[in-house]
Amino acid sequence: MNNNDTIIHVDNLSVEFNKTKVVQEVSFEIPRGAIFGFIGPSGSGKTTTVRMLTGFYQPTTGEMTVLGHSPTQFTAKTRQKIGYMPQQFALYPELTVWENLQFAASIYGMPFKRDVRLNELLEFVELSEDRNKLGRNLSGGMKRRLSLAATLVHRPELIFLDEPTAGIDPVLRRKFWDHFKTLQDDGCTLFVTTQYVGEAAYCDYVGVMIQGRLLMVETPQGLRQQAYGGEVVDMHIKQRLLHKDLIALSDLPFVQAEATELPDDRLGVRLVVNDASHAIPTLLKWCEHEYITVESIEEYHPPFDDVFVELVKKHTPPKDVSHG
Amino acid sequence: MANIPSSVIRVSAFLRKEIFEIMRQPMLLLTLVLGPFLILLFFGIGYRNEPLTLRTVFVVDKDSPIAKNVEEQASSLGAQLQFEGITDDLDQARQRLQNNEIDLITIVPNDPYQNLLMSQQSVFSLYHQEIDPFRTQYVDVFGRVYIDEINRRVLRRITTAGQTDLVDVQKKLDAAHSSIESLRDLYELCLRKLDDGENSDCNREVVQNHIQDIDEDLDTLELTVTEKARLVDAINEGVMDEPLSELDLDSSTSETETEANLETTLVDLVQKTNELSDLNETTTQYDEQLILLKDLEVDLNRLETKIIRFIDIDARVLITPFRAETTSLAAVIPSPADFFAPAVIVLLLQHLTVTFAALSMVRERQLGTMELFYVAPLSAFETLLGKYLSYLLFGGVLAIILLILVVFGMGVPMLGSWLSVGLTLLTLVFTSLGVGFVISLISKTDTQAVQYSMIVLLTSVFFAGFILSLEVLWEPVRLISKFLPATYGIILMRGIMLQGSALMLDQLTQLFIFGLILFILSWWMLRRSMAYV
Repeated sequence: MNNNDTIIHVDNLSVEFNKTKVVQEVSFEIPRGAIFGFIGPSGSGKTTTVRMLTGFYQPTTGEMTVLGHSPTQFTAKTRQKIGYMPQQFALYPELTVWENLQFAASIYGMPFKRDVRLNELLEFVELSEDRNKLGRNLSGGMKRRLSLAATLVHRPELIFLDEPTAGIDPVLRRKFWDHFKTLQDDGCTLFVTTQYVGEAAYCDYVGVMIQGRLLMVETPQGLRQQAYGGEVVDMHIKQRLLHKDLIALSDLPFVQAEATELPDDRLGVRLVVNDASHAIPTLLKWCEHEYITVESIEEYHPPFDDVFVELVKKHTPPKDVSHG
Repeated sequence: MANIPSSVIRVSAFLRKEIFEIMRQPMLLLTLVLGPFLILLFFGIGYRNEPLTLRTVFVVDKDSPIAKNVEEQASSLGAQLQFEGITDDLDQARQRLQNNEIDLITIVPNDPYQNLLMSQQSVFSLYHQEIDPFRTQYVDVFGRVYIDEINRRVLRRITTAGQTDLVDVQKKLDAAHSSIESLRDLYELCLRKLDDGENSDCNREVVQNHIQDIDEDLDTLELTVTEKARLVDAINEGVMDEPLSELDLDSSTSETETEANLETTLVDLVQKTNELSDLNETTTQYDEQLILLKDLEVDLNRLETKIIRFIDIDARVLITPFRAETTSLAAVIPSPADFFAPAVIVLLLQHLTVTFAALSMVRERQLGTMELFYVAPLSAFETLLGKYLSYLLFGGVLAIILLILVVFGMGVPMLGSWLSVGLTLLTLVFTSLGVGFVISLISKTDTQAVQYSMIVLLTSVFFAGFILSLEVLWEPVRLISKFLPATYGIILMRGIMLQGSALMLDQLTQLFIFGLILFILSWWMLRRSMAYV
């Protein structure tokens, strides 16, 4: 990646609180204009990493640059380019939607002639009708949308969104990702943390955090391949395969792992191959040769939840059970 | 508009936000404005600047010679003594005291006359069960004042009795006057006869009778007056520190005469009467006798004048010739509510601003907005300044409304300038905000912040001169008051409003410097908390 295209560069970053390692040796780069998904379970160090990147926490070791500067030495000008949506609703319950937005605009020093921009944002997050509602009277989803509007008010280049979709319904979650895509189209770079593994599909790059460690940074497709060792093909057949057929399938040169029967008692076989588009015609020929009737064959995209579980399994060292 | 520096816009964010947030709470506003006003109003209406009335039971031995006088005397001692009866049972009286039915037990001495004869004072013992130090002190003073009154009554009775006796003396003086006059008439008749060359036989027997009368009259007078004269002279000399005759404005009276006291005058009279017995038959001797009689009359007149003057003096005045009258030279004499009004305004403004500021940063942390401030291009100075300005504005408006209500609604005097009051309150709010923000930055929860604010309020009530004057505090402890904005505020506001003083710049400067130090401290603390962790 060209250095000019890198908006965030993190190298071997670690942080300790009270001698407890919260983030350990994290390294990654994020290109300008990308949506970077930071996925991991609660307590895995996602928020801590965001806080280091926004200059709130100082790392114990490692280096990082955001917008070409170390976050601990951000100037007001650099901060002006950053938008940050914290995990919890961080606005005022006694102010209306409009007043909260005005406040956010003011702390970023936006000139007072900003009503057009604020109206645009309210339209964008679909809160125009609710502009006079007090913060305390907003629903959870409305609060998240207001937070998003407040984050975007000063047109930041780089937006940190800490679990923006936590606790909201799937429809609204989808809308949020649509908004993020729009922002990306406008040239923004988004750093989005989430516990919803499925949201990895919306990202250009995904970092997987487990227990303070970054397991990998990959494209969503790359994640699947990392999890299963290749692409997954599901072949539905009329009869149950013999054991020797399964072994023969597993021995095919493009098959990456042992062939397994389809789950849920369905008739068929699941194969991990290096390239599904090339493997499918070859497999069909092989079945024809072996007198196996294929009902259908297709590339299977395992849900990211499964991908995540696979990845965790792969990267978790086996427990030592040899006590005594 | 586009040229407004970003810093100003960022500061204005807090100004608008805080004002909107406060305006959204109309009940809070109403409480803040009306609450203090009503407190003062009810205090003004309810406070009675009258000494306490003590329900008192007298314990008197039933055989005491003064038992029958106690009720009459006690009931008329004064309004603060509420007579609740006489008993000879001390235990019963104690029980009533414990049951809170009475406030005081007074044990009357059994035989004060006997004690007097033994040259001993008689003791009235007072029992109470007050725990309030001020009330305890009040009971002590109450006891002293009322015993003084009893002593005065005794003295007045003695003095009045003396004056009554002297009325009888006057009759004897009249008799002496009459005898002297008769003798003088006789002498003048005899002298005329002698001058006319008639027989000078001037009826010696009659003369001797007259002399005898005069002698008897003066002997009686001597016997009656000597003791009284001593009393009158003692009062004159002891209380007034000068003879009563000094007050005689008769310029013809010689200095020697004026210096003579009653007793001396009486001795002179007796001596002169003795000289009357040596009477011869020559004109010269008659002249000498007439001069002697004249002197005698003059002395008698003088004695009479002194006695009449003594009788005419009110016994009450005679035993308490002095009393104090105080006149305040202050422009107004404020009522208790007036006196407390400026201090209440100061204390409330301090408390409200301290509490608002103390909760301010804690609340930002609890809402999570501090996290936004860390990331935004917002400095600690801008954050603090924005908050200071909003609360200064809020405190200012609150102060104006309170002042208007107090001055025009309750009629509390405003003798000084409004500008001085404005500057004082503005500086007070500024400094109080500093206290509040320091609390805010050391508190982790809003409960903690409220508790610290309450401690500041409580400290101010005791150490800022609100209830107790600062002078009653031990000097090292008085140092605490230097760290309370209310101390300076109360001194300044009472001076300006009630005495019409000019602005005490030394106090105002101290308050401002204190506020400035707190502002810098708050800024430093906020900068530290807003820097990376």
